[in-house]
Amino acid sequence: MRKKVSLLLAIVLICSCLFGCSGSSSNSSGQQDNAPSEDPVKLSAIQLLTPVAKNPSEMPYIQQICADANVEVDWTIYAQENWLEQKNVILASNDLPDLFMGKAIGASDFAAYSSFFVPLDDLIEEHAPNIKRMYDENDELKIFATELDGHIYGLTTRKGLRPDTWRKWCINTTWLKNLGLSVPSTFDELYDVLKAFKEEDANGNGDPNDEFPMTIFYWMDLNITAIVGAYGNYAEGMQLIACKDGQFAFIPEQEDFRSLFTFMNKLYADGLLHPECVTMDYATWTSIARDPDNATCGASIVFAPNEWVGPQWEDQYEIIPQIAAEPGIDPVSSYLPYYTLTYDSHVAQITTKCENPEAAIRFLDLFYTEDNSVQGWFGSFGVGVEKDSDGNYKVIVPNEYDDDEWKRVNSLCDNGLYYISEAIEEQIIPTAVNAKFLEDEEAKIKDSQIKPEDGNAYYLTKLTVEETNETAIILTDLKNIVSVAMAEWTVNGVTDDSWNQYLQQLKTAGVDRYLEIYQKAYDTQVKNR
Amino acid sequence: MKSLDATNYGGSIAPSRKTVLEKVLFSFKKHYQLYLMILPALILLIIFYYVPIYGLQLAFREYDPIKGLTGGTWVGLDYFKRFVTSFQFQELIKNTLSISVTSLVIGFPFPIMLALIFNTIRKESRKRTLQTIAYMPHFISAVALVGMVRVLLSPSTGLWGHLHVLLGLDAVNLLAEPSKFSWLYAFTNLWQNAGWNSIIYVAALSGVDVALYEAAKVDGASRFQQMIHIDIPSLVPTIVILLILNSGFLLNVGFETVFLMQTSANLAASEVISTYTYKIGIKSNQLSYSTAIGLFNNAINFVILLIVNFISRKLSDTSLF
Amino acid sequence: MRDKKRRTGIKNSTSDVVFNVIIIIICVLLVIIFLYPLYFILVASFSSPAAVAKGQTLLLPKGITMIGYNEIFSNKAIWIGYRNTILYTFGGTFFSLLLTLPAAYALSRNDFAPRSAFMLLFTFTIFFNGGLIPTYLTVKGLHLDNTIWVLMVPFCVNVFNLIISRTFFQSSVPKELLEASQLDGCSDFRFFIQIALPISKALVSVIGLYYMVGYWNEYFRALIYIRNENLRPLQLIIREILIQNQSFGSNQTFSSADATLAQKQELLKYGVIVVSSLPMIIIFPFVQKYFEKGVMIGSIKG
Repeated sequence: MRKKVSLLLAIVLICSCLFGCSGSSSNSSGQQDNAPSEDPVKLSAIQLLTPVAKNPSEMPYIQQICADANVEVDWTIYAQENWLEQKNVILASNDLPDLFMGKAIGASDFAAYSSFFVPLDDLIEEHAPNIKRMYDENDELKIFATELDGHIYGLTTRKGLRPDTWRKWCINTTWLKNLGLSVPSTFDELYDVLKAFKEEDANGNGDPNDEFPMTIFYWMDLNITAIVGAYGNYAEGMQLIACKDGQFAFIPEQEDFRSLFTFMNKLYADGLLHPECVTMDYATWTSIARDPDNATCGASIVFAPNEWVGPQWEDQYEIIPQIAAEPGIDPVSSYLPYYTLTYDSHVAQITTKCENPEAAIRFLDLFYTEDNSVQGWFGSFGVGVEKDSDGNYKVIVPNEYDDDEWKRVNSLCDNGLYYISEAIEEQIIPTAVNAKFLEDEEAKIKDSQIKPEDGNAYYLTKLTVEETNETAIILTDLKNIVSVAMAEWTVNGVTDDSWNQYLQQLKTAGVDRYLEIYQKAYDTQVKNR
Repeated sequence: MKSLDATNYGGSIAPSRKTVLEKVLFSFKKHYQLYLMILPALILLIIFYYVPIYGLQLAFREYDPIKGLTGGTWVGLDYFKRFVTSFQFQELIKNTLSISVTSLVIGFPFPIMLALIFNTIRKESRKRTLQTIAYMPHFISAVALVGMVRVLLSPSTGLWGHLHVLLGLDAVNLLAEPSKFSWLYAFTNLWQNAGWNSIIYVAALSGVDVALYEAAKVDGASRFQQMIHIDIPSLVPTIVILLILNSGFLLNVGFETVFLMQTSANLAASEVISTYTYKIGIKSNQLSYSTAIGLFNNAINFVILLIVNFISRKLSDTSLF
Repeated sequence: MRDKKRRTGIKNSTSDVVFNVIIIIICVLLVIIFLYPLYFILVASFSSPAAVAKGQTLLLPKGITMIGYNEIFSNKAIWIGYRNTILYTFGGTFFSLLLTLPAAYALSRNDFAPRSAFMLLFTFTIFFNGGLIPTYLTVKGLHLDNTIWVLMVPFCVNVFNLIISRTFFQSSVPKELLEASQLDGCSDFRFFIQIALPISKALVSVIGLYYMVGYWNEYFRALIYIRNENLRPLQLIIREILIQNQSFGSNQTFSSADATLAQKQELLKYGVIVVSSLPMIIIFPFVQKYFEKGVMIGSIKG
């Protein structure tokens, strides 16, 4: 009898150990206070999503999250562009859902409508262990998430295995091999390489005249600023602002910018820059490089080679290190993880309309577990990613799909919530394409990247509503001036007169005020922390 | 066409000093059916257009989302002042006007000419085919239209380029020239809408009594003379009204087509009010400011309309009101 | 020309011959100018986007692909879209004509004293609009949003069309006819229905066509007021198929997927035109026969 009792006791003990311990294994979701086992809480959410994606309710990892949090989510999905039209109607007519997700409400929308959102700090502290862990582990991310009044209103994310530089030089290395040339590292070498591309039969099809040495498109984000780092001073800072040693500067105002365009003009005049660069749109720029019969483009500034030339020709192209203007200069590249490359802010918010914010934050928190973070970027287990016995995550993509597209079909991807820490990154085994892409940057760009403090300065600085409005207007004006000047100088060259006139225009448009606003905010918020 | 005074209508000799109220009642009694015919449209407009007009207040108030559209602090003409003194204001107005005046000058006569030409075609089936072909471009979306324009006008690979090669000339990149932008826009618009806009004129011409043509032929008028002396005069009322209406849209250059045709090179001429407002809206959410800009835009349009209407009333007898 | 000689027996003068030749030349030019770009669009809708952008499809298709059309028709929502749009178009046009034509007629009557005042009231609304948000709130307040009525009733009166209709009535309904009928004791209403409308077949068909095309192309109002998937009109669905990520906003995380989508979008933007505009193009000849010459009874003042 005693033996049976002790056996029974032992079994009970072991069982309770097993069940109790499973909660603390390194892998699973952080312990949550017990989700009530009553009826699921109903939540309404507006989610921005790329049109190729499935409905979130059809993604297994999200189904699991909803079950675990005991919520039933009514998803209203919008494509980015449709949302822009609807946004104000929904906000101004107070037609709010419980949750905004997928970056529906950005920083400037938040600034204008801040009274509609619930501060999350206490909710995170009490009901969201995973989100709490993210902010405990990563100070800068917490700063990124905190508004001027000291509270967090919008959740931030960290993506995994991402490049830190936005745009980089890309060149057709097959052509270099064909012509016996080496990768250019100065502007003069670049010039010679481009000239060879133009005059000789670089793509080996017998026709020396069908190659475009360089094509860059001159629109929207003003890609050209990515190469102003050739002069060793300023790295592309997005929105044309760079921070160097704690001082903000407007890149297009610098002498380097002028020198850059003198060089671009030389390329244009000698037929080495595609003559329609100053007018082509994004679609044309990619189309020119995707000729079905031959590779036709030599060099450009890209985010990733296959974005530009497509899967057919991407093997011929490679990212190369930042080119220096002259030998002896150490060129600099940008470091922009906070420009949505690795970090994102204001991805999700809880509105004042939500009657059960505790359930809402619990739901949102589940996205941040390690497993769910990985699935949230690559796709559910068994679909986009697989976990093996060592705890590594292997990315899976069926043959007929493009890496990026598959991710976007099966997960919330760019519009999702996740915290893929550096530790987890080590455990992810990416696809060959992705691995190569990261390797390239590692090998070629990392050395020239500017200091993180300088790279992050612009993004970690928060502005008030009035400052946001003011800078938006000034920036629109400045961008116009710069765009027009860039096109003009490329075609006709820079003269002293036009340069001075241009500087004067920038001043009238308020460039000093723009820098002043940011400098002041930066000095008070970030530098003296 | 002078409007007949209600007091004299019907030949009743009414004392000339009727009170306004009595005049109104009289008119109502006499024409209650006409009033009833207007009523549904009027009610609809009141509910869905006049009632929402309270929202225009936003242009004079600082928008506060908690207090709603009408609760923000009153700032009077601040936003208007801000717009009028803003850096790009003069250029925006200049570009907007230049583009729309050019469009009007180029785009207005063509539909009329098209209609006159269609009218001379005897065989109905041929006429119908031609009209259908002319009317089809209207259905092309801005995205497709501009995409096509870009391809066709490429100086290297487009029709434009090939044409110049044939003639032994150097092709100019039209999308790179600020001075060409208005023309580019105007002709694109013309191609797209000439056929569509001609429909109304064709319909007007169809009402011309065939007997008039017969009579003219007997008098020895050539077909060309018939066109000048019969067709065109019959179109005059329609032409005048449409001209007045179009003048009231001068500051309204549509957003999509212009935005898609903008390039770095032509931006100095292609930035208009609608695209400017859009770009500000990307980086900030300024409902009051954009409402003020919109109101400013519309107020100017309305004033222009009133002026043109007045001129038209004095010169011809046709006017809106 | 042979017909004419037989009919009237009046000889053609030289100027007439010249005139005819010029007209023919112009017509041929017009056909080329209008037709070529339309042909281009048709070809582009099933050619490789890269080839299109490089001007390789100026005459013949290249890299033929039906991906665009497959994409469009594999989307089941398209058929829902067609169904809804047909409802909205016919229903909406009915309401539009019902409200616009009587009002336009009333305003065309010279003896109607307050017509200028009403014209001002109507015209004002073209220019001064409270804005999207208050209008939305009004519609919502009446519980019309997200119903089939919102795209057919609230905005069914287009003042532009009203003004054109008024002009037509003014110039084509002869005053003598009105006075004669009034002497006979005909009421305004009866006159409108039995005399003015039948004379104005051309007007009714033109304004009807304008309204029909307006409803057929409508997407913005649907975007704002319709949330129910089953109520979406064709243009809205087409827009959703047509992923417009082209240069909107500066926060694009461009990746190869976006570029591939952009390429597909190039293809689709031409294909959707064919799909969405074909019905309207087919309808046109049927409407057009109402404004053939001599259709109207009575004369117009020249």
